Amino acid sequence: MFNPYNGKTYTQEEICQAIKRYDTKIIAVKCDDQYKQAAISIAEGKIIGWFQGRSEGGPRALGNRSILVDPRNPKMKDILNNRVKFREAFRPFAPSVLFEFQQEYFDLDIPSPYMLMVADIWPIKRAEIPSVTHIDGTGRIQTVLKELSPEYHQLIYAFYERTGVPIVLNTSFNVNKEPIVESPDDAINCFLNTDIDELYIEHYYIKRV
Amino acid sequence: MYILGLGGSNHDFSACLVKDGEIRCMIEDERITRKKNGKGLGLQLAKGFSLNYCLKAEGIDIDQVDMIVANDIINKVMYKRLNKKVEMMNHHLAHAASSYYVSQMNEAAILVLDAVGSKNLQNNKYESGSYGVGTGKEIRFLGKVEGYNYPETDYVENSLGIFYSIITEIIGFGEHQEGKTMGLAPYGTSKYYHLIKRYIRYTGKGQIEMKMEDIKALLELKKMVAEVKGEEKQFELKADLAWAAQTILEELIMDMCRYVKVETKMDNICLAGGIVLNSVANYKLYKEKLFKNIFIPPACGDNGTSIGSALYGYHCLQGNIG
Repeated sequence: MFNPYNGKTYTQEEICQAIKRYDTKIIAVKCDDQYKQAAISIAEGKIIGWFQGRSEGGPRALGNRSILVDPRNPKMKDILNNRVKFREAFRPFAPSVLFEFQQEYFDLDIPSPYMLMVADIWPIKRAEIPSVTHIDGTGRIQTVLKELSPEYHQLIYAFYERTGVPIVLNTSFNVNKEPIVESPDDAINCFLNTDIDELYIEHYYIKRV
Repeated sequence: MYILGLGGSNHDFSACLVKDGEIRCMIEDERITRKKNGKGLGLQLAKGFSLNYCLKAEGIDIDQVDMIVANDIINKVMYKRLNKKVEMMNHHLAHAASSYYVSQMNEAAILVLDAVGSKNLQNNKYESGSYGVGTGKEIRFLGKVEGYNYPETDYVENSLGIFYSIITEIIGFGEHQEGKTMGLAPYGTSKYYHLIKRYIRYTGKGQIEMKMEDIKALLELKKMVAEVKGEEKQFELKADLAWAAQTILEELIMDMCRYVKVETKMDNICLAGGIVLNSVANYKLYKEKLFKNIFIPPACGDNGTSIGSALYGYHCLQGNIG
């Protein structure tokens, strides 16, 4: 399976330097388990900035430069729009689902690892994930494969363990009309200029001062 | 051996560095410049944002690159400061390569659909569709959808991408916002389907027809949108237009795919070009079960042509080195 994460690797040192540049505005803490911690925050209704590994090529954020929230909350679309994304209300947000559970939710038996298929969500499952279900009962699905996106897979698995739902809402890490963030500096900047609650860069948990 | 691919057209610039056939790094200019779709940079583009990023990530110098490849509609500013020869290739071939060579398939039908690609110098028409086959390392086109440029505009006849862009424009969404039209469509009804269907049709044998007069008639619909007052009525009208455009697009893509299936008899298909960002249409193709395997690369728009150019250089142009 073609690997979409072909941006450069940011070294530990580069990430630390970026954090240092903003040290009057942010606090960064190294976490033991950023997957579990982020999953708990998402389940609590927080808006998470998620920056891991090399950036993805193409227009879709695929879990390395993403903003993530809870798909179970029917108000989450409006919350995300009012606080961070400012998109037109009719536009849908996309689900990222663990490959292992995909067919429980979607009428799709092949992986859609690059978010390039909008599949039917089974009618009985739609109420479970309202904020990623479009008006016609579909979702622009990203299949999360362990071999392709191990960190992202781990995060969603942690969310599943906590909530029983193997899906998160995934939207690109940017504000409306801007490109997706690339560097740790971009991510911190975007975090500081929006109402994102928490930012995770690799294993650093970052919050505002 | 290093091969550098430059990607983009007049938008979505990118670079991709390939070492011995393997992608080492790929990035879009917009991620570095922070200007979406790489628009509005003018001569700044010549700074080589994406290509320098790739070279730096690999820790090499431009002199260590054995070949540079780009598609022939890329903005020349992208490579004008390079003191190196740049191999030029057809735009749709770069799209095709960006899908087929990374699909890990040994043979596949290939279909490229976008708004506008390279100019055919024999007839002065512009490509907007190309289909063919990939076998082993070879990509061979069997046919094209082409059309003349509508004078003094960016519109091109017979182009599915232009059709969808025109409706997007009529609705009032901006450039590169076709995704909004797709998202709006399910709120609509079939009200304008027959009206719009008159202006674009499948004429058989892998050919789409949308003449100058059809384009003109479509643009006239702007007046209809301007005349409708009230937010709710406006939304309804726009959603109905989006519904029609989306439904017609899906039908025409399916017509093209069925033809490609008959012509190539392949089990696999590799898709590329801006049209295949239409993830709703992609699902329709999956549901039809025309092909056993469908591959669509993540950078299926012009941003992915850097990948296609670099890999095409590796597989097919090595004879040009030196």
